[in-house]
Amino acid sequence: MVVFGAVLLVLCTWLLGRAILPSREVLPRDRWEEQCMAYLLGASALPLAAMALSWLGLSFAPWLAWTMMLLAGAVGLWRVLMDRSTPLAPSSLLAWQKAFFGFLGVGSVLVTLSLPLNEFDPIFHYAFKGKVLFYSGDVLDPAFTGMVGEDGQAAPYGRIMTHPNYPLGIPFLEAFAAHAGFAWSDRWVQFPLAFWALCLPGVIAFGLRPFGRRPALFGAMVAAATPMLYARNFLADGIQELGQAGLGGSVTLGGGGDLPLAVLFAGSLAMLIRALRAPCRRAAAGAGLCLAGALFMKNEGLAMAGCLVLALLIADPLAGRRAWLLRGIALLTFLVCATPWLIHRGKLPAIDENYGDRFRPSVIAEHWQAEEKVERSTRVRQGGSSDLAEAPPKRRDLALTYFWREFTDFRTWGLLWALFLFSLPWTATRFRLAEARWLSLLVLGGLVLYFLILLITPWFLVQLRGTGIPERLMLHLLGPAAMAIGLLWWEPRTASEKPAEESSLSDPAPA
Amino acid sequence: MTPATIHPRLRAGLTGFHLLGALFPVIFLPAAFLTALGGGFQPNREAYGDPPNFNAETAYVAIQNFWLSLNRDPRQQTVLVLGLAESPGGEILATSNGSVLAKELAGIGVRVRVHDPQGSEKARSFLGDQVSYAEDLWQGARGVDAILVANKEKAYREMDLGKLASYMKRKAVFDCAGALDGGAVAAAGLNYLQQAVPAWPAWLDPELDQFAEEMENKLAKLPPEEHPILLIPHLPMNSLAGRSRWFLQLNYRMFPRRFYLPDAILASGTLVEFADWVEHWRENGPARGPILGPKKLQEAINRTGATWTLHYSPSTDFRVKDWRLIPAPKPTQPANEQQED
Repeated sequence: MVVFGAVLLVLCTWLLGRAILPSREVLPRDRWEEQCMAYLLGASALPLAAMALSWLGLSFAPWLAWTMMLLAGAVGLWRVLMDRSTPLAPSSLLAWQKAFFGFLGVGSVLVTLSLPLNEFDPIFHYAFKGKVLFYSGDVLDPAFTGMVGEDGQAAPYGRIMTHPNYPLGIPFLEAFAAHAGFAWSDRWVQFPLAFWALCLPGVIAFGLRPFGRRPALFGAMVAAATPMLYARNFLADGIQELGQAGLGGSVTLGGGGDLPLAVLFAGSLAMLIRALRAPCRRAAAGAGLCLAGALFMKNEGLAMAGCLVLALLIADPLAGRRAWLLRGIALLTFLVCATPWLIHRGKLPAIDENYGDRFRPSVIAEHWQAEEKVERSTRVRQGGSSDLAEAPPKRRDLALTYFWREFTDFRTWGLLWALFLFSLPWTATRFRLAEARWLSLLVLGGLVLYFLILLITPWFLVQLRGTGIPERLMLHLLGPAAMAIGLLWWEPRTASEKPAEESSLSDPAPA
Repeated sequence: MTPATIHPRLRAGLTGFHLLGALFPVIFLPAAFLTALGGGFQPNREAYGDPPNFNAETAYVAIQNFWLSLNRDPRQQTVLVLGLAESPGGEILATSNGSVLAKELAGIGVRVRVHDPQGSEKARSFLGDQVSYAEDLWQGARGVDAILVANKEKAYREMDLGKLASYMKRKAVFDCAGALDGGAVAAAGLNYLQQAVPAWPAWLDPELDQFAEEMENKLAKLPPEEHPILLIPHLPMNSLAGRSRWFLQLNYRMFPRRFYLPDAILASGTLVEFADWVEHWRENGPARGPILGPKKLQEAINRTGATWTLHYSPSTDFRVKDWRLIPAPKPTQPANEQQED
């Protein structure tokens, strides 16, 4: 029953996304691209809608979860029936390419579901909140708020929860799955979370479709081939790790927040590109929805949204009125969808540092020169007096070293970052392509932002490194990096691509 | 090669190499699936590799990392390795964990002393002059930076920890065999560094399973909302390690059962905040026993409405004997509503 419920939820989520996705005539796509994009739109919309309704005072009770699911399914089904007569674009993938994407995508789903939740963050940061939503249905249950008193100060005797103000996107999806199956299952609540890695290449191909077959194909392949999409540092300790594959703390797949943020962010960019190219207001709204979905998965989604706005402002300020209108629609949709969560978040206790408050030039300047905060290290504290305390390394040097190690770590990233460097719009032709400019700037801005965050973090950086920082943050930029790399294969109309290979696509003129 | 041709070739070359990176997921995904299959699609504790107690390689890396994190040059460290046999009273072997560790540490320039109750004659044949030999435990302990306990020899389990602390220069005790009582080591003023922690994650601990089940059975007929549980840690808390936060595990497993903890916001925070929480109680609590005295306990009961108290001695290893669920004293006034509703 639990399995069937989870399958039904995934189906309804996908159908909801199908209902949101603009028509095939406006945004041509093949079946693969459509399935992937639709799932991401649905997976954004469903938990955001649940949050909005909870914010309005409704309890996330079984009847509400079921009503939402069935409504989503019904609307989607109606849309699927309406679209029957509109053909999809034919797939341009060769058999081996289908096998490549299929193996990695289906493999990632099977691996996610092959074990119950088995990592610290997925269990304690997310699934516990999902359990609270499932059992109590209240986004202000004392389980969330009971560690502080009415004055907002720490209660002397409080309830236990790690990061109570982490976003509720994953917990809501898990609670939906539990309601659909009438029971909480540590394995099957992951079902709606099993499709992120499968969807990423598809949405990148969808986003790059207007630029021709090859950019779409290579962008998708670059993303799918990046090891970090599945696990990091795999085989770092040698071949004996094979017997422990999937058991360690280095798996990206599963119930964590970084992968859904990365994939929904990529989905948002894909929709935005298509919205601007089509042009299509509904697609712009879809981009805003996906961006809000990304924010609802992990707090860094807000930072990514900020980077995107800045990248568009700086890299393409002279876009026409229509482009600005579409961007405005995307931003407005994002704000509307994210507002219930952002307001609600203010009511939750915060046990992590507020980076927004620390993100000031004076604090950054101070940390640029500062030494590592060794006194925050539990290891130093366990070891008593420390030589490290006498000669602590500079925080700046440590952060730079960690980023450099990631850029050159083939086991985790392949050659993604070298390719990205190569894909920067060095030539005049590529520089004229607006998407190449703003995608590149977005990735560069994101990297700079994450570097600054490491610079000002109040915690001991050496300890953070052990938890997968900064690679888990850099993962958020995989989508735009892969898209920018895919655009390496874009060539203006005069290129020698055969019309037969282009199927129904046409190369765009530089914006 | 003209500039016009460099670009496509470089592009193709870099992309080709990048796509080779797909070999990692191509290996990882089937390996992870087969690993799960091998465990019946449940995380199999045995698959985590290292034996639950002691692995020389793991300990070697952990010890090195410890020094590195403190910016200490291993060549400036003097270590006494206790126990060269695989098990108490067993044969002294070159392949025993103690011997392997002694040799490896000496190999990177650490000044190593070794001791075994059976004497050192046999060890000289394979350790040679890389290490020095202590015929007497206390002679060996004088002025060392660290002690490394490699087996559960009775002489080590029962050694006078206060005396040991007074003999050592620095106070690190690496317990690789799970031979010592961490609380007693910490109480003697030594830094207890548990290396015998099971390799599997905390939530797979078999004793945690057993204890959670026992609690569920005991409380089965009591509605969770009417029977909150107050967690009461006991001092000394011998570890700052996140693994000793067993309250997180019970809180997740047993939800909607309600657990309360003193200063929960700090205890549930990051590892650094948890360390702050431990140090707060080390400084402000009694030397031994429950962190809440009778008056504070009554206040906590009044505030939370707890009907049960769960007393425990924090440790990196979950041991059922460290935990005790007992009925809470009756409240002297109604539970503070702001806490719960």
